[in-house]
Amino acid sequence: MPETPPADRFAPRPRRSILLVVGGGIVFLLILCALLAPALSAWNGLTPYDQVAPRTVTPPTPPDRQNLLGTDGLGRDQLTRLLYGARISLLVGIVAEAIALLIGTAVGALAGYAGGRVDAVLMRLTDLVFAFPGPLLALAAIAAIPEPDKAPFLRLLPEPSLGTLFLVLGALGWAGIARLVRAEVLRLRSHEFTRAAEAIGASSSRVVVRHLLPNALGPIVVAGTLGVGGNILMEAWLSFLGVGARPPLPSWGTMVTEGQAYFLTKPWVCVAPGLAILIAVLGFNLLGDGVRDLIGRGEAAA
Amino acid sequence: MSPGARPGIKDGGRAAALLLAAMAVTVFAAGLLPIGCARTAPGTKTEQVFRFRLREDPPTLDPALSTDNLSEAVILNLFRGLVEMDPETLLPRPAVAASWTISPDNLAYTFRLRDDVTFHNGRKVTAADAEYSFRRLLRKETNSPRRWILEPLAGAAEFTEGKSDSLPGIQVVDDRTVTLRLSKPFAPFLGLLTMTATALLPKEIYDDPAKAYLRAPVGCGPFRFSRWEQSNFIELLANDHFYGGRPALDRVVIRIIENHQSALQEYRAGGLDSLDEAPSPDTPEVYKELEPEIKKYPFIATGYIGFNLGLPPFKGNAALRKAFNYAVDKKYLWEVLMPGGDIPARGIIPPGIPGYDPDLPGYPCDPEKAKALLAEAGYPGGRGLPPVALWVNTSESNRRIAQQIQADLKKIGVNLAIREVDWGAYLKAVEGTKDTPGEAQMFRFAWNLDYPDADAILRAELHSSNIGPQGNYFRYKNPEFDRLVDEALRLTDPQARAELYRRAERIAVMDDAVWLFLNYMQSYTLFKPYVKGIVLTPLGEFRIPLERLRIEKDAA
Amino acid sequence: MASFITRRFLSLVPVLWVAATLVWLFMFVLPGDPARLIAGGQGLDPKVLESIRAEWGLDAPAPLQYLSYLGKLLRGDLGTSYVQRRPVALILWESFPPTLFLAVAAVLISSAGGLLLGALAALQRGRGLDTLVLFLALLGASTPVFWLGLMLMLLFASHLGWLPVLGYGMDGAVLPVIGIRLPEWDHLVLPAVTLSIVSLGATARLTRTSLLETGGAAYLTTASAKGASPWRVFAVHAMRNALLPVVTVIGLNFASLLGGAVATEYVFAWPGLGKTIVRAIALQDLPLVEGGVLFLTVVFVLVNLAVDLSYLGLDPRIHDHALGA
Repeated sequence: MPETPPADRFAPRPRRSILLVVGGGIVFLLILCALLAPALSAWNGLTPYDQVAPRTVTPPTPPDRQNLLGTDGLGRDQLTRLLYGARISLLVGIVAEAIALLIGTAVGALAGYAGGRVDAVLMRLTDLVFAFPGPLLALAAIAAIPEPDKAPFLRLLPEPSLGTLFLVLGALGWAGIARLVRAEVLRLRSHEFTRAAEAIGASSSRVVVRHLLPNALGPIVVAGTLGVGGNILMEAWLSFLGVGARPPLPSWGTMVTEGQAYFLTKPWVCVAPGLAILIAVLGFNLLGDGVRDLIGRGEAAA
Repeated sequence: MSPGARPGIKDGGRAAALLLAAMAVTVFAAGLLPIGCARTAPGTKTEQVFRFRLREDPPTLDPALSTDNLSEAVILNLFRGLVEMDPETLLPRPAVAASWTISPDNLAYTFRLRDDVTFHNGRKVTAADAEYSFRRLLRKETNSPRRWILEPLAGAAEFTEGKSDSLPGIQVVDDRTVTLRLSKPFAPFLGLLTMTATALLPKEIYDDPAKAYLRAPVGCGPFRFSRWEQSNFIELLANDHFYGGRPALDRVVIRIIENHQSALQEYRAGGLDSLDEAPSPDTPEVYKELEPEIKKYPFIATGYIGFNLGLPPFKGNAALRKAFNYAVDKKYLWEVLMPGGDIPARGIIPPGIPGYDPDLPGYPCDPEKAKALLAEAGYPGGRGLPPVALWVNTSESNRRIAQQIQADLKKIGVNLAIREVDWGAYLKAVEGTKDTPGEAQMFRFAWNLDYPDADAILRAELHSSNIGPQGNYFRYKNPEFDRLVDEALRLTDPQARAELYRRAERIAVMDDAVWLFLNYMQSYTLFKPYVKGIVLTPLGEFRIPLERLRIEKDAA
Repeated sequence: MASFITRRFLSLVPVLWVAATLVWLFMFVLPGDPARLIAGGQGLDPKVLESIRAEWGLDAPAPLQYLSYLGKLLRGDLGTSYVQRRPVALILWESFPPTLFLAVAAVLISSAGGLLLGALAALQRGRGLDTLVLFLALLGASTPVFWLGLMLMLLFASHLGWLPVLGYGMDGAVLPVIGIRLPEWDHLVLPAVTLSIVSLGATARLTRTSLLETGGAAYLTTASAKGASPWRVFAVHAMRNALLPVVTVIGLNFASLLGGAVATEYVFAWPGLGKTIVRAIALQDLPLVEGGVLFLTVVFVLVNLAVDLSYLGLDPRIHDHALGA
């Protein structure tokens, strides 16, 4: 889980922009890999499910010219699986975060704008979600949807198990965003443009949607970016435990579990997916952090 | 924090010293946590300690409630029954009962107890303890899932249902003699009595309404219970007064380590003397390093993929089931992908069990035949086949096997989904009820024979009277099969029984292809070279008698 | 002060009620038959299952089950574990200390490391080292804990043999009176280091910020310019500014620390709360899951209360704000 410390006023800006560029670069590459996975793996013409190791040799086979990162425990090309794995990580990370943003923004805006009892109740709920360790809640929530193939809506997805992850991670990730949006709404409400809008008779929902939210967009984008990284980490952990993405989907977390048996002798099977998780999450964290600095500077200049 | 708020902080030298002191405390606090703990390296003295691993805490240490091998791994060492199973011959042999006689009509079993057996609390074991323990197992309130073991006793049903407090099936003749009377002849009865559920229990401990015995079991086995640190370890100590002689081991430590890789590393590092899952040769260096320590031996269990005959598309479509059987390359699975472990299976009865059929053809991998049968089944090239899901419970090896089967079936045009769920949800989907099939169409299962008799798999799993949660999850119903299995139970001649079982097996395998036959299981256990006296047993690694083990570190 | 604490405790009651209700509802709708779970096994006689339902009150209508659950809670009874068949409170009491030791050790390590890195970054503000520290902080937060634990174990324990692989209190000391088992220090190192990664980065960043914020930055620079050794400068200022960020991070990151503990405990077979609850979820041991959730909620609230109180002690400026909240 990425922690979200308060914006750092003493940021060494010139250097930090390097980190921003690095983060942006990683995320860009990641998206590229995910989008172009089929094209990128066209050179050896493999899918993540083809068993390419010879039928006489016990996989995993070591890296060679055909399989640059070797094969996994079922003789499937590791590099191809990693490339396609980027799709799963990104998909889960982004969709779940979108859900979290939707819930969080709605709850936060409602609480902040309505105030009073509504605010108190919503914030207690938020505290509760915030208080409880994510991995445990996620496990419990997944236990509640053991059969995504039967669940309404989820079963319509091409891969229902990912649907579970969208929902569960989305339903857990909104608390931080709700707090943030509420704080922003409270802050902006006291600003003059809000008062002015209300004075000329704009309805409250209109004020929230047209004025408050756009102004709160910056922090939301930052939290969202960091949240994607957190979701990728959580997806990997759940898949590591075997309750996340379903095999044979090439989830990086699954690949770590399947590869751990070979660490001492065939480390590529386990180290590569672990590094992939690390780099992807790092990319989103750097990006989110960098964007936060940018916004901080923007505000200071205004 | 405002500067200068703390007096003395401006004195840089002192602050630095303070900081260093604080850091030192930090570091040493971590270092000294177990204050004054004197850790004795195991085995340096004469103390003999044996440490092995369980994946999870045993669900229970109450013999009447246990149904799984984790619980039995502990219970077996704490308790003894009238008879026990010889771990090598798999025949019943004397335990607390020194001898027994069976009446000519095969109805009355009279046991003569040893008079040198005491419980761990020091009290002598008498025939009344057998009566107490058996009544407890049968009693409704005990809720024993193994109640059926004693159901052949005369009057058992009336007693369990509370219609009668007397149990004519058990007669205490004198302090050292007890007679068990059956309502009808039942050939494997003596074998059933070797199961841990029929262990002898001291009334004064097991009548405790507070159930303290759940955490402090008392039996008359070779080891006595010492302590149970939940999800950490269980410790047993030698029973100095064991009737079979005090075990050589002074102490047994059963460590709970869930992650297999973690456990393997702990074994290599010397923290375990035995490990239930050995590395397979697909990790050559680890395998080479540990190969001399790997013990491989048959395990009386069969692995398979069950077809749900109550649901489409497998319902009434033997050709489809045979097509699946031919499509999967069992040889590749067990000899290349997961080599050195199990043996590719051809049928149901595992080697070592009377009735095992070495000439059973089974279904060797043949994709062409599979494709032809698939077309015959009405789905040429897989076209028109409704979605099929293979259910497995969450585990690393299950996942691997399932994915390999998925890949093999893909080659004949079948798209198989994998449903990986928790054990609880898995059982629910697999078992169904007496009247309605579970929702799993295909599921990976392994059946571990409760007693070494083909009856323990053919009847338990495939007899039509056991449809539903009792064991016939496949809802297999074939009158001829039922008849053969029933008849075998009435016979006492081992040869004739084996022949009937072979015939029954052929029907279920070659005619009906009730399962996708996968593997005859093997036990595959690591032992450090200094562990001596290992009796390898087809009953599984957790049934290796610990009272025979000894540690010979210094001699090595 | 006293009324502040009282108020915080009172506010705990509705939180606990909501938590209890949510968890109960949640576990109630879960598929799976508790009776089967209690009986433990397959091939069960329906009659056995029925009598188990009666014995455990599982045959009562849902609202009654809920009320009896709440009633027991009020009497301080967390129920009995389906699987272990002993009081949930006892199980939690047993599995909490290992997690506590692990968490405390991890916080100590991440505090020591975070203070050091944070001070270095502040000292070298805007220079390469600062950027590097920031990068490392983010790297720590980006590492999958389960993977890191595995890698550390395989490298330092299996390959190099410097530290034991895993284990907890096998031959270790037991605290007298309360009977809490202590871990061996060498067994604690790898799990604690693994877990410390979760909060190391955050501590470093907050230390850096708070060092610069307090205006000590100028002093730092001056001190360095005067030729004071970096160690001495660090010692003087880190000491003074250390506690606040550390305390803040503990409060902010408590949930993620426990979350990380779940993964760490899994890999290192550490018999703690996380492992216990994860297993309870997997086995659908409802009373244990419910009790565990409530327990964690209480612990979380208490930790945050302690954090708030320590703010009061550490920094008078926060006083009014905290009391007003």
